[in-house]
Amino acid sequence: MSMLSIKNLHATVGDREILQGLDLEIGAGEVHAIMGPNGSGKSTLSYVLSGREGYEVTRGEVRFMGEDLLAMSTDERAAKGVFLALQYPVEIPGVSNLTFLKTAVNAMRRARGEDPLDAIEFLRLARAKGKQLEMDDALLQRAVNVGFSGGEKKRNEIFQMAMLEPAFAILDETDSGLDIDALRIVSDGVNSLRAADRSMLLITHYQRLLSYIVPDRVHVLAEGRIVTSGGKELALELEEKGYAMLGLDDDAPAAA
Amino acid sequence: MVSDSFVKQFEAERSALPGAGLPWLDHIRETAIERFGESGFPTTRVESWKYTNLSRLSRNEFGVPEPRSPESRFKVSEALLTPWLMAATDCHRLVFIDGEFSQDHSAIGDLPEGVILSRLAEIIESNPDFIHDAMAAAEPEDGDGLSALNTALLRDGLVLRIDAGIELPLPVQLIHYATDGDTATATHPRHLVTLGENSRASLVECYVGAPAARNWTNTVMTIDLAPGANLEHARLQIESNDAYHVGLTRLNIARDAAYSGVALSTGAILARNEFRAALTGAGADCRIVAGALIHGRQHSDITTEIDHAAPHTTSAQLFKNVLDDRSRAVTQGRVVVRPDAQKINADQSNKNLLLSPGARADSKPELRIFADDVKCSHGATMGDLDQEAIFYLQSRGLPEDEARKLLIHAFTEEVLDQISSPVIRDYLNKILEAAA
Repeated sequence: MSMLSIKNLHATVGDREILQGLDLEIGAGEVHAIMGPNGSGKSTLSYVLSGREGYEVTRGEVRFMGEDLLAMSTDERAAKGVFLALQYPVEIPGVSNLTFLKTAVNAMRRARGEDPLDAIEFLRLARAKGKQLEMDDALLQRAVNVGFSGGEKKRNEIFQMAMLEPAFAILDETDSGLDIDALRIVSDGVNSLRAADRSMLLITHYQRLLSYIVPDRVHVLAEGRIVTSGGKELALELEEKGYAMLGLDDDAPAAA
Repeated sequence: MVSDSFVKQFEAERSALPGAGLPWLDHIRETAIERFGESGFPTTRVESWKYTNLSRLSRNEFGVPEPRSPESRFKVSEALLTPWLMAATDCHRLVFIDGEFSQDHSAIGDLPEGVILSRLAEIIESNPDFIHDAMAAAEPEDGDGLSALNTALLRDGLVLRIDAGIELPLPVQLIHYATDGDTATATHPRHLVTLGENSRASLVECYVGAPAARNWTNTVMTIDLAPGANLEHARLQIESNDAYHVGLTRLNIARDAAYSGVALSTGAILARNEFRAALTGAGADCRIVAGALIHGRQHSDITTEIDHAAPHTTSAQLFKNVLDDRSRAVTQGRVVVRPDAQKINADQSNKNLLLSPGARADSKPELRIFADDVKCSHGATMGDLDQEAIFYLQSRGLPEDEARKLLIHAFTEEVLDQISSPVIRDYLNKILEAAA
């Protein structure tokens, strides 16, 4: 069954139409990658799916596990299991990582009619899940993303994903700004979260990430629509020949 | 003119005021009421009151609170007062209701030798010489009409004196509770805190009231820190939204003494939180963190003056206001560095969070520096909540109102971070959460 179904999606930012008739089907348990040159609408797609203000859908529909996703607020989508790992995670001074996550986990549990976790249960869970992503106690106690390095911010995003256990995760340029060690930690974290009932959408400019997190399908986005789709070998081909092979004007995806 | 009515009130009550007949106290009171009669309520023409207009306050007719019978006092408060109390095992507590000491609700407990914790009216009757110096020193030339009025009409308050080298392990909690009644009433509490050399104490000062109380609290606290003394002071103002509050804290900080003050204000239709500190010996340190969380048509005024009267003294001030609806916050921080007061460090920062387009914040740092080898800084910011942060929190499942609450809490957290005593911090946290 389809987890996410996007049909003829058009979206504008201000008075510019960024998405111009995008179609995409993602089945349960599948990992899809969207590649594309700068300005093709990759990040816009991630914001439209998470319901960010300022991104207006003018046509088309998005169904998530059979429901109308676009009718839900950002927090309702999160409670239903949509997760967005941001390209630029936001710093929140004065709120510790743990307080932030505990509030988030319990807000979602409440939305699903479950009992909130108490402080001890929560801390035990956070430490267990933080271990793989090398989130030590100091990082857990610090204010959200404040003073974090680029790699720490991205690890923190995947740590949040591990804690919130979404049904569908969008990873927006999760590889950008990572050195090879950080990329490995993040990729291992993501791979360990792959599951039959969890789908993912990787948004990336470069092929590099896809050697670590191997997708089931690869799509190329240009001028607001999917122009070609294929298996994981499409990414390798793009790396070799550049977006020019599709008649697109941009730097080669291999130029990481 | 309401100032006339206070002068009349003084004439009518003077023989019944505590200590009437003591020549030095009579003299102080008479001088003070004369000064108030001349200057009246400060107007916006006075520089330090430029942004806070007292005309609404001064149009009220304030009566004297009725003396209460012990039974009615008990009935008044039990349910409404309890939420404000720190546990009796955690503190030494003095409670005043409408300015009058309440034996029933106070719990002074066991005090170490060398500590006197009592009430002003009692000390005036039993041992007036004990407070003569502190009272006389509290009436300097630069005081305005309101502190003069306090001196003229004061009836009671807290007296805390700690001898040299003594540490008071538990905080002192002072509570002023205003009841609601048919008429608006004014009280003029006066508190005297004196810490001897190398002594140490902490104090939580709270002004609260019944939800419909229409009182005016006009209070003065003087704090004298001898060399090496250390005081942690939390000041909480959560009076009713129909109340007026003017609180002046006057500090003398001697060599190597340290003062850390945290003032939080969420109540009253108009509140002024004023600190005047003199740093009179090398190594003196003064830290003030003050904030207001206000909404509706509330007006908050935080005014400070730090006088670096000696070299090698330091001060740090942080002011944080959260304003919603059509509320207004005024922040005035003055730092004076006297000639020859070299090697001074003085920082000041004011951050305002404006949650509504109708809210307004005025920020006026004022540096008067007469020495050349000093480090002084100041800064101010104004802004709404970070929209990106709200989206981020929502994308993690927090509904918008909860996201906003968390961010506002984060903004005020910095104020509570200044408090080193866990007992006091927990108490303030609990109070703020209940108020949110």
